[in-house]
Amino acid sequence: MNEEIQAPEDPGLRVPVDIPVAVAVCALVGYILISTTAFPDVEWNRGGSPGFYPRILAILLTIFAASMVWKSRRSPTIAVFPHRRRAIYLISCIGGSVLMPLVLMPLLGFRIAAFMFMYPVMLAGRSTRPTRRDLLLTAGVAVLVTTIIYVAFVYLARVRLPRGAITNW
Amino acid sequence: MQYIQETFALWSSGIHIFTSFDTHLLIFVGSVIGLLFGTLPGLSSSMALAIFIPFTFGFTPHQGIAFLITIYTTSVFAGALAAILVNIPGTPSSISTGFDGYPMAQRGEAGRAVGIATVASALGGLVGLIFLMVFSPMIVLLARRFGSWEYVLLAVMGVTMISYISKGSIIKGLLGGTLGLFIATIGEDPIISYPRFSFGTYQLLGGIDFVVILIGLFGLAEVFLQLEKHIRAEPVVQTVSGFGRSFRDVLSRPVCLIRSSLIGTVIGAIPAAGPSIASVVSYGVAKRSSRNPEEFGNGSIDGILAAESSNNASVGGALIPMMTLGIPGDPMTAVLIGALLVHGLSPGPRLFTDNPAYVSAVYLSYAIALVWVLINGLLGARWYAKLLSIPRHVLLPMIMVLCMVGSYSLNSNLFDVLIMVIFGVIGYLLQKAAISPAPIILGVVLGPMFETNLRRSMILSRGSFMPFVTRPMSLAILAVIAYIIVSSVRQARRAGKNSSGV
Repeated sequence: MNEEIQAPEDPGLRVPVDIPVAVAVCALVGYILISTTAFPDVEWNRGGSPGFYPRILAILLTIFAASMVWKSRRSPTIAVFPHRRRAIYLISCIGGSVLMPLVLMPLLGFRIAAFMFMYPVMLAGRSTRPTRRDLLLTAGVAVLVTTIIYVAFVYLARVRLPRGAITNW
Repeated sequence: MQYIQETFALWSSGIHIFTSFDTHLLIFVGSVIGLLFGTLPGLSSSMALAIFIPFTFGFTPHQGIAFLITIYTTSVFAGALAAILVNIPGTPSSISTGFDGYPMAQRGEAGRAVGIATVASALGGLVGLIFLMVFSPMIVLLARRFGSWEYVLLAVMGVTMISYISKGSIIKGLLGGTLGLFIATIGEDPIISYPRFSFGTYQLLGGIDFVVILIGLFGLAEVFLQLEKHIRAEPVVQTVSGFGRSFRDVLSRPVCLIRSSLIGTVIGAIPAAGPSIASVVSYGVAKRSSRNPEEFGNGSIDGILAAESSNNASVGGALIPMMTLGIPGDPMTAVLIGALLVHGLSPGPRLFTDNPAYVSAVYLSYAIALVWVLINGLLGARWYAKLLSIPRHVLLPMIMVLCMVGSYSLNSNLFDVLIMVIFGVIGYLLQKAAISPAPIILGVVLGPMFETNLRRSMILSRGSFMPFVTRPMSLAILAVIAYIIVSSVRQARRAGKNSSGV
């Protein structure tokens, strides 16, 4: 019988986010302004400067970020992030998503990489502790899904999915 | 007379496309995908379109369009199934449907409620289609007179519409839109091909593919948001049966049907409004004008009818600015613009003159998709209802892999997958900061049109801004922009007063 994993009521991490977003936007504005100083100054009859439009956007971004901070004095935005088990799960999924294009797909090829990615994510996402039957069933589902996606994209949409450098599969 | 002949020629120019069995097979597959994404809470129409754009690369452009239009139409309808059966709206536009659909299902009338939603959706969609077919050529006639100045102002109008599209704060919507405009500048500049903001990588010299951003922001980011939720049990689905009276139920209420469909079409045609607003407004109007307003919220047929006919009619409405001006009516049409661009078609007045068969393909595939809505809703609802019992922990990893394959298939490049994941994480964090992805996408779509026409107009006027106020068309669009800004500021103030008064 499946055993329910005890997840205590998770209130999550409450983080005020307006100031961090404004700081990130200011960093972006700084990057735009510094980059555009190196752009050539072309006259309008020759096409105009490539930095003209990005500088307008930088000004707009500054105005909107400042307005957001000003408004947040009265009603700040509080983001609720998960913590404990769900946070670990989410971060692992994000990490796996990054590893897929960088390591798994180039080395193992799509078919093995997709199975290796989906199987643990499917298992870890369960709300109950998996039994031996669940382990086998989930593996079957992961293989089936990988096959369906592979067949649909390779044979129907005529997309060549990546082959692995190690496996050539 | 010549105009009418031209319009008929436009409508019929793509009929030959639909004589192929392959096209109909793709439309069927599209309707199943649309139903899957629309029915399952957490998956959205925009996500379905974003993920499946790359899937259309192997098809001819008209088949691709037919496939995507069908996904769009059926997913808007399918949200009603989950709303009625388990009281969890499959899409935001079906929230109002659940107000009356779920009480009917609790009374044991789930089949009747699904039947009413299906017939209302198909008929509402038909009204939207008629408006699309009649009004698009008229708007195109007007848009043919537009120069670079007018296109710049149309893009500005699209950006100011962000104040409507943004669910929460207008400022955050505008911030997101401007971020989108900036993302569109990455790569070579459109006039003199000078490389900008490519972080020294050659892969970014050609810019970031629009579809990669879409899949990241609408697909992966949404999956990350779903993954953090702890779902203890999947919903219990009721048995669906007894569709017999659906047509009679709907057709015996012609006033409510036509009024709601018209509201849906008009709201859908307003850039950035979309089906969610359409269904809420028409539900409110139906309640206010009903002889039995007390029935609303307790299983009123008028309630389901109003919500479903308007949100499906809004699809036709949203396609009007998309097809004629290249301005997205909602996030889904923003994605569709990306799909047309990927297939080498540029939405706007020239599409009607240069590629009338594709315009006709949009009309006809929308019509066929409505037939599939009827077939799926009346004959297949009891099967599709079972989709609701697919466990979330199986579905979400599957979608993640689909996002990766989708972004890879654009250029057969794993760098695109990495960029998509980065946008997925950015989209997740921005949604945590209450910045919706819809304005960002609007910005990315409008960015190239905005910059190219702005610089072109500045070249033509030798750096002068005067033509923006001296050309009559420009002046008219400026007046509309001023109206939008004033009305959204008023709306925000009113909302502020209401919230402080509570």
